[in-house]
Amino acid sequence: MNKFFAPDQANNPVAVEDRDRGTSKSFPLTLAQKRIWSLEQIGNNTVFPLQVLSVHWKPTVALDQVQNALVKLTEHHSALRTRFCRFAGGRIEQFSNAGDLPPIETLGSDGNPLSLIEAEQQRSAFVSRPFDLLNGVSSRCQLIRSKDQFITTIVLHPIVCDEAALAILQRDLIALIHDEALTASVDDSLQRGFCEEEWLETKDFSTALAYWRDLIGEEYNATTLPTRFNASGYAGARRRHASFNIDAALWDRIQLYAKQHHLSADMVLSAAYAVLLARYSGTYDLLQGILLSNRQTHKSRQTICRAEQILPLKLQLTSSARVLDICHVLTADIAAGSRHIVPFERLVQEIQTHEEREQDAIVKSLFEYREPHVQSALVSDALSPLAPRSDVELALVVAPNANGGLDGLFDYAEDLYEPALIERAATHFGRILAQAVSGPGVRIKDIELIAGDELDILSAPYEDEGVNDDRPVHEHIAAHAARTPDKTAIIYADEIWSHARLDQNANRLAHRLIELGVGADVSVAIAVKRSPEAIVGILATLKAGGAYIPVEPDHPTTRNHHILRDGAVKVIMTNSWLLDRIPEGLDATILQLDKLDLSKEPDSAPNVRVHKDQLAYIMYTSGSTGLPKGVAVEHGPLTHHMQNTSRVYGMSAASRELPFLPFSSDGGHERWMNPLMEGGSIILPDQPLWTPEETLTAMRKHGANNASIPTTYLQQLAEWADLTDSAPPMRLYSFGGEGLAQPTFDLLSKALKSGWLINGYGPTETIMTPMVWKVRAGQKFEGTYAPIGRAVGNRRVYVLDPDLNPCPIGVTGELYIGGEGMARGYIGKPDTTADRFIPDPFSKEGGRLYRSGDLTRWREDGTVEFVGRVDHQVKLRGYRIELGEIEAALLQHDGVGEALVVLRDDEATKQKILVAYVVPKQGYALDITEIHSALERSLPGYMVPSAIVLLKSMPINPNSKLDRFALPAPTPVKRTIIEPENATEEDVLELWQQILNIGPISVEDNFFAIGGNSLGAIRILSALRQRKPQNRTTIADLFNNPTVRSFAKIIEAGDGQAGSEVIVLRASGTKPMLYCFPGLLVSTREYVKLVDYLGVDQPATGFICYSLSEQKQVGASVDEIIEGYVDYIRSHSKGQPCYFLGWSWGGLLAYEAARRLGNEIDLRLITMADVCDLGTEFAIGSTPRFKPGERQQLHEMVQEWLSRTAMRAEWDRLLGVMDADTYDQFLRFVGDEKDDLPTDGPDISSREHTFWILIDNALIFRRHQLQPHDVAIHSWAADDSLNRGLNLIDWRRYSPRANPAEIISGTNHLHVIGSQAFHSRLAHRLTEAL
Amino acid sequence: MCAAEISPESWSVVKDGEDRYSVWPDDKALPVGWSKEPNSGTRDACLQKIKMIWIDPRPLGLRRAMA
Repeated sequence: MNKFFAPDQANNPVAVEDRDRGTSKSFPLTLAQKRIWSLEQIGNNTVFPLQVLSVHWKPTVALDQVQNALVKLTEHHSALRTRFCRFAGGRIEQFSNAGDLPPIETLGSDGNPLSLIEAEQQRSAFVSRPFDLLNGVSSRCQLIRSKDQFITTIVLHPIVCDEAALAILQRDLIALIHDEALTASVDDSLQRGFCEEEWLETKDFSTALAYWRDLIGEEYNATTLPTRFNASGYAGARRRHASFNIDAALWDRIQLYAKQHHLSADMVLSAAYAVLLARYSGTYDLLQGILLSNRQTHKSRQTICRAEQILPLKLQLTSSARVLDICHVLTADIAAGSRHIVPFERLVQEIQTHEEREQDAIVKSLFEYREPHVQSALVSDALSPLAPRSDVELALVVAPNANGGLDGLFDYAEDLYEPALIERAATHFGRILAQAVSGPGVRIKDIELIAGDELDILSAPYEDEGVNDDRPVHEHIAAHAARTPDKTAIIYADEIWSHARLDQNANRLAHRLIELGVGADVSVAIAVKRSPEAIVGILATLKAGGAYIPVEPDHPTTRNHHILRDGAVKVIMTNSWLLDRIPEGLDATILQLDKLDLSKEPDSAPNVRVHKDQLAYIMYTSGSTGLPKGVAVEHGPLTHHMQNTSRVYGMSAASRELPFLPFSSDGGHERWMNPLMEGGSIILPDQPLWTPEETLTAMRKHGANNASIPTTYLQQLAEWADLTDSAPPMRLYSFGGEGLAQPTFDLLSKALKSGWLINGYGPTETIMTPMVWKVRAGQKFEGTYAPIGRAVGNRRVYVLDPDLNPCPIGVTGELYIGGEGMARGYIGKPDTTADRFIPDPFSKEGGRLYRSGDLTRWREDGTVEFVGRVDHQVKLRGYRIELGEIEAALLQHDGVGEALVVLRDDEATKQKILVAYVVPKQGYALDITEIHSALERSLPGYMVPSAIVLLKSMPINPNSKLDRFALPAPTPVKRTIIEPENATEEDVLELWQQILNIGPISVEDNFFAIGGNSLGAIRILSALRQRKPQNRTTIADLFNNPTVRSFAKIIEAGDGQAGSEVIVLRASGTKPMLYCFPGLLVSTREYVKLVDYLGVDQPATGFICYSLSEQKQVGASVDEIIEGYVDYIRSHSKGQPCYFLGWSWGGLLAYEAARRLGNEIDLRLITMADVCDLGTEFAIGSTPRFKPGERQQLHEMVQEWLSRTAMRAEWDRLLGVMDADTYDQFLRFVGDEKDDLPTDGPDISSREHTFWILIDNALIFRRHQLQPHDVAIHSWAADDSLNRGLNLIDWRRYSPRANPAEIISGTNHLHVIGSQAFHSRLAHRLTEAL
Repeated sequence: MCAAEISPESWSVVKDGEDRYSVWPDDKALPVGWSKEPNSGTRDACLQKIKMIWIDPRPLGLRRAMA
């Protein structure tokens, strides 16, 4: 917004008076140096660690030998004696003087050596001491004489040195000890900044930039390892390390492999890193970074300086790519990139130019290989710790070590990455390398990350010592009829069925079925509603040796007809009143159960032997599209599954379960079979749905101890139980069918009074509930959904990538289930069966794996977490989005009972958009706008849905599952036009339309919603002034009353209400008022998003920038400007707690207002967003330099321009208050401008008006002196401002209670105020200060 | 910028001891208990082939028991 706050890097060096540098000429810094300086200014001095070289000399080396060498070394390299000076306005330059050597500290002597411990203590104290660059040189040396050796330590500030420079230093030091002469070369370390500035103006730079623009593109997605759940990408400054080694044998093999294939060995390491990223991220389109020493020339290999550069690398691989090919591609890409090196700080600025949205880092993961340092016989040990730069989320540094192997170090943002995941990634990096070099043909997909024994543990089922018998399910049930014939088996409305009655009825019917031809692999449809008759029918079918197919009579007829035909049913059991539901023309016998006379049939069991491979049932499941598929399940795996499940669920003869799941899902059958197989009983609901009240009443009345409930119904039940405190104590609740979010889980934990909770998961294809997560109530879990646990029984589960390689813990892959417990396949669909049931590559006996289509990951404890459907993961604008994550965020919102998010085509724009569907909890009304802002608070921008649709209930398909295809499209909001009612409204409406240049509007339309902004507001006000000269309304009045109707009211009310400079951003809330001080030319409208984010409880007030105010005077002082703000705050917050927020120039105003108000208010915290000091141009004491005749020429140009401009009077007033020095600065400034002087004023939106405001502001700013004041300050800096080396104010210089600034990545000075990363951090600090 | 993919999409029809059919990529070791049928091609082509040849869905053991 302001050239002074954002000086262009290309501005010419301005000559200023020499202060600190004696007679030496000083030079500008490089962009990299400026960034390091800025970081240090705002207290971030660990991002680039100090550069340390420690050399242990063998005893043969003498003390004076080392001392002499050190002196020569510091004489030779100017980087060791670089000094820095700050010019008026804050510009920093560097210089050096030949004789100005760094201090050499000597400890111990030959006669009095230090002990080893003392030596190490001294060394580490020396290494960690900070530098004061304005008052000393850029390096220091230490010499310690200890018991057995000399230790030389050289510490350099990172602003003059990088890793490659340390290697040069070591090489030169050793050469000097050997009395060899150093290579003569021109030391240009001080000129690099100047050369860079010049280069950035050349065509070469434009060409290089075009290369990167083309390579990276606009929609990029930087690759990295999986981040923590809910990390949202906002890393704090905290870093963590994970170090590891590669042994010498492997490193030798790597080097040999590289040699054989004419590669540099570090390319193999780099390729292994690419493989690691690909396998961990699941994407083979990689965008990563590599740190280059950037020293291709002979000269640069002699110079100590900071030359390293981050090079982005884009690799488009597939999992079939050979590692060898990746090595070659990398080599070529690095060579190509090296020909186009652009300082990374500049590159980021040029790529991240999107105005509206926050942008992700271009490089999130960085690889760095460090060349080994030169060794010498005189050196016993040389130490340069693997201290990487930590300005990238995740960095891997690898360097050869003294043992002939490699040292590796992951350095990463602790907020973003799980330490355990990084530790494993380190192990896997080694495994990748070992396998990669085992042959030239190794492809990414051939590499195994998970060892066999690890896989055995991860895939293992619940421990279960029990032994299964092979009797089929119905024989288990029948056994209880013999043992406990009178015991209750089924409670159904008023009916009580004993085990004997159930068994005898089933036997009679079984005999009839056998007569009708039912036998092995013959199917029988059970087309009656859930009832004891249905269970009799099922048991009879099993006893006859047939396979049952449940058909829900009230399901859609087309669906049922398909099932009856596709399942080739021989017999259909139904009721007489349901006959019209049965299609005609079927080759099947219809049994009307209510009219059937079975009295002649024997009540003893028929003598039918059942083979284990014979079908027990066929269950129809909805495919994602089209007609349901029949899944055929055999007796052997079924009975084993049921017996295993009994033990995991702890079922017994005492079990009395309420099975609420429908009979059209296999889970519903598991839950009645299980209690009956154990001799227990069930309470069968007599209606498809009971109200929560009916359900809880039935449980209590009949003494249920288990209940199995669909997840979609669980929420309602738990809410009701919570509300009425009516849940009976239960032993176990089991549920499943949909992902279960933490809030729902918490609610049912609390409300349902159950000892155990089981989250069941399972595709029909793997029989009922092949996986469960069994926990005590109150359990917490990380992740979007509750874990789905482990396999049950003779099964194993695997999380695999598309190449069927097991995924490491924490990496998302598709769930595969193997072992005995799976279906035979799909009825009549051998190709689909072969597609979904594949050979099991992990089994030692042979078998199949079922591909579930569900995305999952292994958790740290080896249980599996559900992430979403394979087809539920979408790609939007280059981002991979897991819709379930958005759904979980919606469910966090109070009042949202159910949520669903889909990607669909926007009917208007034909573009893909995210649409959310929400169903309120009972008794809640949902505010869509509020939910939307809540999502903006919790999700990255690209994940926030474009529309949120309110539904009464989710469309549900016949299997109690969500029906995604029945969701309505979001309807565009219909605008109703409300016409003006009086003359003032008419006037205002006409004015708005005219100035905003829009069609028909309503008097209730919000000014900002119809395209209004600050400039529009000011134009409206000045037009209004012309029409009604007495009118005193201000921009604040318009912002506070942003509809035609409300604004017209203010105009009519006249003086009494109008005339405010204050904008009420949020009037109410229990938290202390947040006063927002505006940046220059800012209307406070920019704060609205922030206030939205902070939520309804945070009141906020904004002030209009003085430059937009009507009453502004030329050359006002800061004191005068804050006068109105201070009065307002005093009258509204006297003695009250409050916060200030200052953005850009507003930071200065906030600070001064705080100083003026002192103890009159209880100011908890001033928050500063990217507050910069005045640049050099107008700083007092900076004297501009002109070429001969240039000043006169500029003066004449200005005079000529003044004669033309319509703002002559305003300019005359401004120039009139300038003294001669300031006028010279003004001329210099005009001369440095690329564009001609503007003459498009005085309109508020004109360049000339803005220019005038900037100059006026510079005059105000230059006269202002900041004074110390003890106040709590927390500041933030936009990453882009650091890249530009802006002169950010270090508030610690003024207040003892100021913190080092936090860095907000992906944003710049202008957009930081709208940045979500900033919002979340600000919210955190405000709460802290409460 | 694109590392060459060396493996064409080549899959085979495979069968286990119970005469269950499935498909398997040729560049991956065949799991224990499975043998290759003569048919190979794209994954889809193999599945189409299975649609033709896998007539009896019953496992071999059951077929024998019922015979």
